[in-house]
Amino acid sequence: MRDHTLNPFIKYLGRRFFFLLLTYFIALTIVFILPRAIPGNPLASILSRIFQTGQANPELLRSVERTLMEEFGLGKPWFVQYVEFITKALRGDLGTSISSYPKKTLELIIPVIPWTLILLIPSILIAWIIGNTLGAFAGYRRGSLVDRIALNTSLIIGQIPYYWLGMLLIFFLSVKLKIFPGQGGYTQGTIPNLSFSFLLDVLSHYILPSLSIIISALGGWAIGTRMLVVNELDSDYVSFSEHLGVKSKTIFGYVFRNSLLPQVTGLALSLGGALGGALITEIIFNYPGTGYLLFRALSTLDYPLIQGIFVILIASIYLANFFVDFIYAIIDPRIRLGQGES
Amino acid sequence: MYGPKPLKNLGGEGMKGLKSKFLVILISSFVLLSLLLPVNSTAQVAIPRDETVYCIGGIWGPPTTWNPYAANVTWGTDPFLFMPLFYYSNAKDVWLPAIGEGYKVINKTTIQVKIRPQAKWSDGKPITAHDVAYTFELTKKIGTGPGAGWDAYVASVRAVDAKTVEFKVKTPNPNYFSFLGYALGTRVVPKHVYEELEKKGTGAVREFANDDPAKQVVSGPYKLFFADPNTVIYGRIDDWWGKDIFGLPKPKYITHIVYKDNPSANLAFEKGDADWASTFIPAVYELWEKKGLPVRTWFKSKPYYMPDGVVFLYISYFKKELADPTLRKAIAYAVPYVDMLEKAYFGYSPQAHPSYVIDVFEIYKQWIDYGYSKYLWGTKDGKVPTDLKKANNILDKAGYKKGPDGIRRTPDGKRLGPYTIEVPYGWTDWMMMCEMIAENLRKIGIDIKTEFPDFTVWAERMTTGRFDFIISWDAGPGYDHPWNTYRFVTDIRLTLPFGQSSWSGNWTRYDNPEAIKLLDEIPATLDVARRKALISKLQRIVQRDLPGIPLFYGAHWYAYSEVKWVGWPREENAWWYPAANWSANSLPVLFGIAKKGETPKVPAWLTTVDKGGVLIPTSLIWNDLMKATTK
Repeated sequence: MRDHTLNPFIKYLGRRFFFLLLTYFIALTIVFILPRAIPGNPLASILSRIFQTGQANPELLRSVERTLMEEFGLGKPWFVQYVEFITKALRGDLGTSISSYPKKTLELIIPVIPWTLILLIPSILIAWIIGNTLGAFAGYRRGSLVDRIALNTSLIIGQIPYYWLGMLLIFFLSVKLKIFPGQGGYTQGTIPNLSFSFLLDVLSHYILPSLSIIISALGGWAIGTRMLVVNELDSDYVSFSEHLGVKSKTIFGYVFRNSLLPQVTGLALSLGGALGGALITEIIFNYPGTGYLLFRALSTLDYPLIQGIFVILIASIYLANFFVDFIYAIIDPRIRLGQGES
Repeated sequence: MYGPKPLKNLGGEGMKGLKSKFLVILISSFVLLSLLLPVNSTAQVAIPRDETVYCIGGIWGPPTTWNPYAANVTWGTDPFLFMPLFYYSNAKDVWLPAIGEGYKVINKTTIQVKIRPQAKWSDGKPITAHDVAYTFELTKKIGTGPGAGWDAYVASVRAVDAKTVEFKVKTPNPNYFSFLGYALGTRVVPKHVYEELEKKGTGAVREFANDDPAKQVVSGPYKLFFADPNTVIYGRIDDWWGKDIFGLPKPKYITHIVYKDNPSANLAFEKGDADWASTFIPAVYELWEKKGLPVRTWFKSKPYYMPDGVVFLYISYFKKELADPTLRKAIAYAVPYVDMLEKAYFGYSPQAHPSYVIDVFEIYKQWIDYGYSKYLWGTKDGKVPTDLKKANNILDKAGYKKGPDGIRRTPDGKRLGPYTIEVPYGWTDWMMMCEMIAENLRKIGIDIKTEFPDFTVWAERMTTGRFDFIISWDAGPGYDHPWNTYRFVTDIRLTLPFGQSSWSGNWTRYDNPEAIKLLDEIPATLDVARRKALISKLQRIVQRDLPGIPLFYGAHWYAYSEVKWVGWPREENAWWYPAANWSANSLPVLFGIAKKGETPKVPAWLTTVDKGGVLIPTSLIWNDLMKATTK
């Protein structure tokens, strides 16, 4: 009996894992091709800096250019570069950054990851909780004034481009009212340390970017949950309970919980993508996360850094997906059993 | 009794349990993550503001390395950490002996430099001629590093004894400009440190970060004190070897905060949070004229900034019809020089002289053949006037007829355009200039529009020669100006065929054997009068063919605030130049400023040798070489 249930489950996970590896490999290939498809000179950021120091002379420039071409293998045919990239990436070596040469890309990526996760995870969670509660409440009272207000505001908020929202927040709360700082992860010039004042400083810089994410994500969650709740309200068990005279508060509780399942999936997925940072939000707020690092890498055409960020980002999204699949299989027996049948 | 219960069991309890577990995992992982914040547990106490010079404009991304052999050395390494034998000042045309004490010309091909007996590395080991020779050898092996490319001009670098190093110029056709530049100006690294690295291979030399303040071995009066992705702080070495010769530089710390962009850095400067600014500041004069701040640039009035090289309108030879010198001449007349510098550049530079010689520095003026330029362009100062009528006349006369669309055709029927004029997106001053130039060129019947690609894209087009019109720089002013500018713009040997990227110069692929002959002859000539004659010849060529049309001088971004530090070099008291904080030769600035409230004193050694100081005029070295025997 036990064997019968375990086998399809493992089979299911094995199959998911195989596809995961295959798509990851395809993703790596795309990650290799895309930055190279952007026209531009990846050595421009380093070489142009030589002119600035007033030490530019043709021999020096030529010598440095030649050395850098060799160092990054830029002169080699693309397939040689590709094979090198894949074999190194599989060994965990993501190469050396061009714009921050000779720093390893991992040395640049790892320190910014906590900043991004600290910005995004709580913001996503808060948006999720508020949005779902709001949506469920509106759905349950569908047609009421509360619903109409909640639905319309959510629709509007959900459609506001989040970068615009970010700029509005900076303009009003930072530039005009000067309540919160609008730039950076902490006051420029302070040295990060574990003091109370520094943490307070980080917090004050945290609020605006976090707020822009919460507000813009909230609407989407609310609308989604409202839909689910409305559907759920048509279920037999609801009319059954209503006929039995169960308190509406209790029914609301049932409906809310039952509508949450797809929203949990959505949450897990957006948390999985969190590592990529809220690219534009981080750029607008000059927030020292992975999104901002990616922006810098793209604007200097730092191939290894772009690749490195995507390799890690894609892996995290895939892991989140895998995790969701795994949870689904546990929650919903139809999935694992269905695999066995086919 | 029945009712809610079975319903609750359907999914409620299980769901709730799962959800709360999920949340617990997430929240606890968040707490864990917050402990990972890049916090430096050994963070230093805040550095005292009045002991620190705060800089802006030198660094815009996280610091990388303090190793001169890495191609991407962090701001501050060249000016503050590693010293050359001599520093060069292009305003005074003098050499300041740093690690070197003096030079001796042995014969026309050999020069010896004596190293100061006091000179020591920060770990106490003496700085020797072996360090110098080793630096050059290692550079040759690695391909990057101090004096990269030296072996094209210097035949050998040899330690005669511990404190004497000998340089031989490469013959035949010696290039004294590049020879002296490499021999005197190259930074020296500690042999005992790099030898150890070299044992691990050349990769180890290049990838050495040199970011541990405790282990840094430097020759300058500062070394790294603290660095993180947003801050670099250098700290003074109080028992520096040179303190009895030069004294100590005044600031105890030099700090640079990595700002996101120009506006945020400039804001810090305006607020008095930064003292030494090397950024582009729009309408900088308003800071003292309107806002009354204790802030200044080099000049109190126009052009406010010293020049840092010639900025050209380059027209590529990639499209054949654009090669015609007559067409180029008409274009030169059509550029709205004065108007555009006023509107787009805040008057930060006068119009550049068509001779390619920077006429803001007194010492360079001697190279300008004023007579020829005046005759050619018909103006008092010999500069190109903006004259659309004349431009149209030239084209009419040369047979460039206008088509029905108002666009001219070459005499053999080729339409002039569509062309683009491009600069990188975000370089707002240059972008505006492009618009203004394009507008005038359309008025003389050329179909041209502006394009503002990303910097890397623009750079790719520039270095491969595949562009129509661009605004771009030259090599910057050195003691070999204007020769280096002629060379940068006209020497075909510096570049590669169209389509292949080359950063060394001559973006347009101008190819003229006549120019090359002169380019080789000038630096081999020690006689000043003869050199002048040769330069004059070259001047005629560049004004005839116009491989690049000189627009203006790129500003040497230098502004200072006297909120915390006073006595900065400036026009009225020009005791040292270059003064931008990213210039490799700006260290002396820190010796002459003083804390607010104290009286600044220009160091006595900052006068020329004939007045009791240590500064050696370049002319003195030339004279010694002239007088020397050939053997």
